[in-house]
Amino acid sequence: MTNLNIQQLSQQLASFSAEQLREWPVRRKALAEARKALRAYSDTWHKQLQDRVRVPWLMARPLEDPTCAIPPGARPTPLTAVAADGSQIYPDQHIEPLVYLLNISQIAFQYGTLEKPVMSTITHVGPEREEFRAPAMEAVTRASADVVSARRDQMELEALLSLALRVQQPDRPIIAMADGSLIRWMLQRIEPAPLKDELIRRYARQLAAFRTHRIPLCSFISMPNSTEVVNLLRGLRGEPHKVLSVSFAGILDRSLYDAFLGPWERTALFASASHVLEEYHALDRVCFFYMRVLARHGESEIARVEVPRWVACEAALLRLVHAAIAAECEKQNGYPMILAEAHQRVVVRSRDRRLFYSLLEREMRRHNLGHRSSHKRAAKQRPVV
Amino acid sequence: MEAMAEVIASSTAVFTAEVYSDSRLPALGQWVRVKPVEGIEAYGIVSYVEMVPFDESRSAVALGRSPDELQRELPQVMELLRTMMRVQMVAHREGGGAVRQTLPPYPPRIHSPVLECPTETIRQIARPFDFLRVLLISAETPAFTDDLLVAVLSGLQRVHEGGDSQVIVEAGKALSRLLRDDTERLQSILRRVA
Repeated sequence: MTNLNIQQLSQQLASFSAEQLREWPVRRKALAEARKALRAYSDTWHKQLQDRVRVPWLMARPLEDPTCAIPPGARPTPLTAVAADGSQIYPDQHIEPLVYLLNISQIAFQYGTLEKPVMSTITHVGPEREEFRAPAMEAVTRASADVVSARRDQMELEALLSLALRVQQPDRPIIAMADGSLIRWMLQRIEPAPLKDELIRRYARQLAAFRTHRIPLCSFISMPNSTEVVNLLRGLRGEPHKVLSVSFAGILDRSLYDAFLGPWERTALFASASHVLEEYHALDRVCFFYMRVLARHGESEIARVEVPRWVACEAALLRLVHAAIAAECEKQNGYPMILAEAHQRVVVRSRDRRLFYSLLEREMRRHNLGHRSSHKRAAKQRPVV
Repeated sequence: MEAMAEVIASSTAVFTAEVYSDSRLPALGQWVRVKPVEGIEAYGIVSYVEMVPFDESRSAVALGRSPDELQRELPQVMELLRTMMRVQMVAHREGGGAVRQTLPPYPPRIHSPVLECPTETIRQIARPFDFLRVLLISAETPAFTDDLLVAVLSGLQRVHEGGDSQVIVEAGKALSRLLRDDTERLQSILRRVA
């Protein structure tokens, strides 16, 4: 049985699709113009950087010809690949005491060898009061979803680096892969400011550690919604100050590049202009490219790959990242195989959640500590007729 | 002798064990032993072997790669699979006593090691072949009981090779009685014993 009002739903879906259909020619025209603008910009990009343009958006800065399409080379063999992913049980306001759980997976494959893979999971219960100084501590104790996510991101990088150092082999190239963006802009909305600063500092410190240990790090973003290259084109043509018949607003970078990339090819490298990157070391500021990844049945998508600046600047490392991601995606239907495995190992299902709360309750009762669960939660868990 | 598997589900009649990844695959009809409690050793016959993914929500798919390529380029795949065996217990021994062809009084504990059965013990279990009855009537034994009997009799023949040549004849007679003279079925079983 469904709780959805099917009649209303089907009516609204019909008008939604009619709306999409009306907008389609306008969007297609804007996209064609944007692609034309990108081609035109390719002649002048090295002279005409966007520094002079003042716009309210984040604009990518090209480090190569923005219309170039570069095929991947062959992935080296043997190769050590490591990946980590994280998931969490956010604190539940219907349960006392306030507690959260972080689950971090670590995967290491020694490709081209018969060595055993590493596949493990680290589970961590927070908040851990001793780790933060006041006044940051108080906010950590309140454990908002943003704070928990920030702790998870930091632990993911920690786990990734420690694994890389553990499994690294002499004279064998290595690559570390993360899922999602390395640009932690969401940290900026954390309050209070001392906690925000502390969390950004910790993340930046983790990124820096990859550089000092020379472990090339990259992250993969499937179906990216970013518009940094489109924003650049908008700035160059005078949006939003000039009134234009066709705006590039709403076009995604991946739609723009869909017309430029062949199978497995990557775009130019761009430097991101996200404000949070100012808190990173100059060599760790994030650069990115888009690439076409193929799935089965001839389907493909444009994905985004991010690397710290020091990786982007070393041609050999950049080639390694491109080739390794292409090989990973080829093995797992358009998504890096090692990241898919990292995800499988870490996902917290509803039975894990139930287990966590029942263990918590048992532990609290054993020590005669208060454990309370709201009546609302109970009503949801055990509905009666 | 090293453990080949570990009990993960247990009863006084049947247990399921996960085979260690570096162990040899168990064969249908193979004899194994396990210790339900100190002083008791139970003997059973592998009645079913299957290879399945650890995680029921993940199914194996055809990958079109050679075994070598799988190991080198998709190293996680074989790690995600496990071999499970079901064992029908048919006999046990208490202390240093004789082997009795009856179920053990206690189920093996979960996580108990499962070991291969020494040839000498298998020889001792033979007569009067009451265990064949357990195999025949056990509701826990999956389909293809006859094929299991073929495998068990073939195994018996092997362990008695060059010695007790009468053993297979007597086992056949015992089976004939159990099958109530269903000669066609008996013939079908004996014909396939090798």
